Amino acid sequence: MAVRPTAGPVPVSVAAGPEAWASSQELRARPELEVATSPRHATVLVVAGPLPDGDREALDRTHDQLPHPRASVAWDPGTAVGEVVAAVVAADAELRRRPGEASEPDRLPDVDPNPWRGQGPHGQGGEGMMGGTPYGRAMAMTDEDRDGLALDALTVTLGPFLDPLPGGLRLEATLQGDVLTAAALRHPGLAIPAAGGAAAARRGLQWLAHALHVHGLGGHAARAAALAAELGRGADGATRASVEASLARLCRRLGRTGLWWTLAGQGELEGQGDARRRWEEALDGIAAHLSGQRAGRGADPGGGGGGAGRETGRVDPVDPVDPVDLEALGAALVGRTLDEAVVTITSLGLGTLRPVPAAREARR
Amino acid sequence: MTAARQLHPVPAVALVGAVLGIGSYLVAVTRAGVTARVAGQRLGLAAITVAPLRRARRLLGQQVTTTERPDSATWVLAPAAYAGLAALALSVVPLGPGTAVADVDTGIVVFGAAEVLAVVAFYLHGWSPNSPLALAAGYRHVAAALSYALLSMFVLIAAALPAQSLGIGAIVDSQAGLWNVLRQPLGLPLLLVVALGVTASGPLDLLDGTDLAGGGGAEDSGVQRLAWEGARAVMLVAFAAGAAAVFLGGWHGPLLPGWAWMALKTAAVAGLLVVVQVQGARVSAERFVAVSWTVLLPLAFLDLLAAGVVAL
Repeated sequence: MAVRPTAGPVPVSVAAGPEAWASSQELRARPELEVATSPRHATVLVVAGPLPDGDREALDRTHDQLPHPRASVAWDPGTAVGEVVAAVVAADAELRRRPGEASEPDRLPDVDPNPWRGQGPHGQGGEGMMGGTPYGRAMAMTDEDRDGLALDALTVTLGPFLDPLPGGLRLEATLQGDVLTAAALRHPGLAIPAAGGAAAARRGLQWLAHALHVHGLGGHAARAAALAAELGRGADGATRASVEASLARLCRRLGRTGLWWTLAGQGELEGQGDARRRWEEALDGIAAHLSGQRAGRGADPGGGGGGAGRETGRVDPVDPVDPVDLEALGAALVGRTLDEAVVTITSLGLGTLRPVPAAREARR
Repeated sequence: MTAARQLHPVPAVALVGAVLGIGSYLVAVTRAGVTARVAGQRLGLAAITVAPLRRARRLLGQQVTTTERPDSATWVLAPAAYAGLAALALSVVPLGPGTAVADVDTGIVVFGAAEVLAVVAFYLHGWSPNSPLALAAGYRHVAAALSYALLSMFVLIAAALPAQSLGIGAIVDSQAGLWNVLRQPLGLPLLLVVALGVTASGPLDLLDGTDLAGGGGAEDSGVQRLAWEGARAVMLVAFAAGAAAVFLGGWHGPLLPGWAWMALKTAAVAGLLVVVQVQGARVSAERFVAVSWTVLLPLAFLDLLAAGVVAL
């Protein structure tokens, strides 16, 4: 069954739609692959569908960022992870045999994405040599900021396939240095099948694998992904007990990484505490699902969260009463650094832990 | 004061190249092994020893992609400058009794300057690709850099006090009876924090962090990426050698020849750093700066003060 790697792990970049994103995290457990943080680091692009129609162009752009020789592999829902891994390894072997011919060409023409529509003294609009939208993309322009430095403000859209963000999520951020001065989040919406127990715990472990990776703990992430995969192979009582024991061991290992200390005080949200509290709730919730202390609920997407959450009115990652208000979350990210915004979003487990409302348009 | 001892340029270049080349390969092997262990993956020794070579071969065969209007010259310059600074740092570290490329009287200053100037390479690494995530990562690493560079200054000067010399050879000589790691117990732990900053790794991997999709390296591919990763490993080796000389008594030790002791001590420091790199969660720049100024810098100052009092 296992494919023996002959050229070391194949670096893959995963472009996952909202539904497939969580299960695609299980690829982190596979020694045959190395899930790359950037498409520039990957040899094979794994497209985990289905993708929303609006993400096709972003997918093509991501594809064209892979260096040659490159290939792509489609992962349709229902296909086993093992088959996808085998397809990736086969594609990589083919690329090594015939690097020139087998490499996929660009999908988009190598031209500026928007026509030149500049104006002003230097043709780009704006003032002096700054600002404006010469090719339909904003150029940096000085602006008031948090620290009074009048740094350049630059507006960028991150996602929908950015590795640190949940699949399908777009973060439109205005940055001065690395501080967000405006932020809007968009997500196409996500219907998560009703599940409790092992299925919920599995989704929680998939979230954990991604979250640990974001915090720089790739080795620990592989362990969490392996636990999710183990639950996927069978959810009988013995497996659940063994996964629960392994999760407890993993949590003890995490205690030695300084993770709790780095999470404390980060990503504070009104009424929901900090990132550390949300992580602890999520881990408690996964354990509760594994030990069968928590029944599945209608739209329960799984993993994480202490039961006490609902009574105190804070958002409970396991049994969401209200879907995440992306508009409020976007507003709450303003004034934080970009990395803290990522830590905050990660701790919420968007996409894995709860449904997100259908296309809530960004506040502009 | 020891007289400056210098090697002929030809063996000197060969020596620095060999130490950094072999050392960075061993660092890469160690990292592969530690990562596999943390991940719970059982890889054989053979698989681990060839892992860095396979990775290098893959990157060498890969296209070097570019971005829209990058600063191409500085993009290439960044890893070259970084590796060059590592070579500079190593050149003032004696690798055995009387065996240094240039055991100059100001060795510790040269070593410290190489660490500090690496910030320029970090910024170029983030700036050059003309890419927002790379730039943001460059910003935050540079923002944290002063807070670790100052630590290094205090700690290294404290270590020079008992030797009454800024030459690293003299500092090693001064540890014949008692190693600095015991004489100044705060020094080595603080210097290891500096090492994480100077190699931009582990808890201080703010430069190429996964939270910003690879940060400064997000746009790197092929040989460009290999060069940066190599430069990082090379800096780790040079730093470990410096720490071994300044705090672990350098070539001093029974039975084995001096260079062997130096190699063992360097490997021990490098191995410890790799374990921390793999096992440590990233800390935010803001948190690190706060901790550095409220806890680490006062400790470093205490270290210097104590060394000064003892030297009187």
